[in-house]
Amino acid sequence: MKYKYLAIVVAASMACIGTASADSHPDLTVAVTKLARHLDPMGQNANVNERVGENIVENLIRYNWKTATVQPGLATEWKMINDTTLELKIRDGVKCHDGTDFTAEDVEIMFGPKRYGTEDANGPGYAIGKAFFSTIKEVKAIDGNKVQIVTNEPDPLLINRLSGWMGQVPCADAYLAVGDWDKWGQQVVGTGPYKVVSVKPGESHSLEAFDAYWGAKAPVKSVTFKVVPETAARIAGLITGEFDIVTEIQPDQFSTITDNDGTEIGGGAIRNIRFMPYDTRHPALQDKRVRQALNLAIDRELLIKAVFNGMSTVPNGFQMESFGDMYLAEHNGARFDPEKARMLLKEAGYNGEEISFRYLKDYYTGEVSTVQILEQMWSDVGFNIKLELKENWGQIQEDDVAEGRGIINWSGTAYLNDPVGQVRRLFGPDGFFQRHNYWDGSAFNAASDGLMSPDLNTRKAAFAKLLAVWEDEAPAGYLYVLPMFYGKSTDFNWTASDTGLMDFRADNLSVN
Amino acid sequence: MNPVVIAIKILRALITVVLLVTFVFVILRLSGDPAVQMLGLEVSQEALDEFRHRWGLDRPIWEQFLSFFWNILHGDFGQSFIGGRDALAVVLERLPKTLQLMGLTTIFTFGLGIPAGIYASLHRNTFADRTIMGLTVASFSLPNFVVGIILIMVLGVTFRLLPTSGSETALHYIMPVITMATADAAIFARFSRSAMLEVLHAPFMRTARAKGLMWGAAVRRHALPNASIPIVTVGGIYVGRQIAAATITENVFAWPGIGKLLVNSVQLRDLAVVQCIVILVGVTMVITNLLVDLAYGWLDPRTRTGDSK
Repeated sequence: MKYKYLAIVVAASMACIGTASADSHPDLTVAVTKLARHLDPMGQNANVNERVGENIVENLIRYNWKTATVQPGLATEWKMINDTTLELKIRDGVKCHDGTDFTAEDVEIMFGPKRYGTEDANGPGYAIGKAFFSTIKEVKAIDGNKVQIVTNEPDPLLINRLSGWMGQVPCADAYLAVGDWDKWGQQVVGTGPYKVVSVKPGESHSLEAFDAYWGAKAPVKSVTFKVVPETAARIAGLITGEFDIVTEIQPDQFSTITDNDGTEIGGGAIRNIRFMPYDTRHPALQDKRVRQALNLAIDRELLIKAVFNGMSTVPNGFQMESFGDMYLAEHNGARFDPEKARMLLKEAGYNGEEISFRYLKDYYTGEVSTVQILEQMWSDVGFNIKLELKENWGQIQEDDVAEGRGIINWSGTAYLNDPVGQVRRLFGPDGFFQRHNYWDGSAFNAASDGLMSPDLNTRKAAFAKLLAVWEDEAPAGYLYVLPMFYGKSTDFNWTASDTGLMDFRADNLSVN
Repeated sequence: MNPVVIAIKILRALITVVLLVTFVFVILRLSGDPAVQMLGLEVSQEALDEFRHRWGLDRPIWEQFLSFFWNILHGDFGQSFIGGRDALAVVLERLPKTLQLMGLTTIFTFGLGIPAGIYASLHRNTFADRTIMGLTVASFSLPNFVVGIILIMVLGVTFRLLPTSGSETALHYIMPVITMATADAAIFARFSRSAMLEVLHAPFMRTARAKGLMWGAAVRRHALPNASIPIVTVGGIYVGRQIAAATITENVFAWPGIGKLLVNSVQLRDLAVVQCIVILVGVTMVITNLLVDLAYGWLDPRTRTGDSK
């Protein structure tokens, strides 16, 4: 009997220790300015959605942004069984947040007509997802753990598509049970290390560690994204310890954070280029020499020094170094040459016609100061730029050239980590600027031939040609690689990724 | 008050709300495309068209308006673009937090402002009067967001006495209430002082003193009731506008109320939610003004006939 009591006491103690151990995982609070409207990647292609993404829903093939390599995700192995068919083996024992098993059938359903719509182009996620999966013809489950992805033609980017943003596969049973696309966006069920427990639009999103996660368990008990629109309040909350990480920090606020014990700055350049599209329908911008002059008049190094304390870089052309084999180091990108800019303006017969530059209030980090500096740089070579602050994107886009709009602001994320997902996506025939007649991209389109070839050298040659055409046509001017800065508590070891994702998985977050 | 007069006032109030809602309905649609705000510019035309079609935004604006009005008459305020939730439910979910903030602010505003103004009027041109009026000018001149950020920096960051954002505990209420009540109390202090000074020099006060009333009794029985009429007028407007006035404070302190919801919804052009909030604010204004009108009759018998409407 005595041993029985002892056993109970020991068991109770162990239970207490167990509880204490579980509770020792802290909660992580992140102060943000905005929340995702829809948590399924195909519901909203925005950095607020990408930020949360892979913590909840996972890719079949995982892209490790730290090593820039792909590794097994929900699929443990994959191989091309012919030129157009990739076969993947789904990992055994993967649980969805609702307790169901994740199988090959989930992949088929989530890429099928009910969600993406591979076959009929009519799924609720198709409109947003098609820019990423347009080459996919069919997705079929072979048995419980094998799935085949068939493309219309050989696709050199298929692995990039599956391992990149938008390639995350949520769980089908839960999706079908909800049955409504908008409601699903508020309660997405995936297989990631965190599950969604509370969604309060405009207020907070709360995630909780998923105990049955197949991989390394989440290092914190919960993650709460809390909307704190005011920058001063976000920084104050970081300093007082109410928040562990705060987003959207500008360089002029760095010292407030670094001067405080226990807080530091994180983040830096991400896979995104800030640029300004030129509307070539504007009378003054129809001549490409004027557009080239705009680009030659920009001292990008000075701009980066002034706006970001030098904490960014000038891209070498409309490309990212992260493209790996597809990066063209020998390309001659933009340069600062005000004398040549003046000469080109003279040759083109520009006579000071007003060009309107529409912008938003710091939608992009440092947008207002960037615009003001640009206006000065352009004035110095003889441009007459009218700055127009707008309230929203609709106002940027409406009444275009009729109201004299010539220049706007934009940023280009390098999806697929390839030119196809960046300069080609933005300026190609399906891109916004050709669709909305900002410019005639026929020369650019012709140069794109070969970009989808399975042969790397052919692809590189096509890309070199395409970049050269782009620089010459100058449908836009690029500025810098867009940086994204965070304030963070030193209580956590966390590194910002080179995309919008805030990666809180075990291999990127630990508690000091 | 005459029932006909009351009915006219209610009818006038209803017309005001209808005009307000119409104005907001049109302006919201003319100043930004909800599809672009929700999905971004880069998405395909099909995605934008599908969104507009699904939410009926591709119909002529007059048709949308009629349908919107018809639905409101049937108690349907529409759905939020975010999650397709009932707009009224979204707004009502946030309302308690704003009402709590409003209630506490009103108590402090009236509790500090009116007595301070009366005290200053009764001690006109003394050191106390000048000090109170000086403070009111200072606090009224500071915008809410400046007061809020100063409080965050001093009480939150420097002295670590109070939490800087959110609404979880009683301590979270202190800074937002101080922020809102500071400027508001100043308004009421100044207004109460002027109202009191006006009646203190009125002939009926001399008559009251002449018939032998003590100064304190004359103030209590004659000055205060007469001075209360303009104060009640301003008080009505004040309470009515409080929901909208909380907007800045709620955003500074990340207070999960109607004001923060309004800013977020306007930015996203979440039309049904914005319209619902505007109707709520409009109806509150109208009801408080109606109550003020009715209170006149109680406070001032001369208005009971409705002649002074």
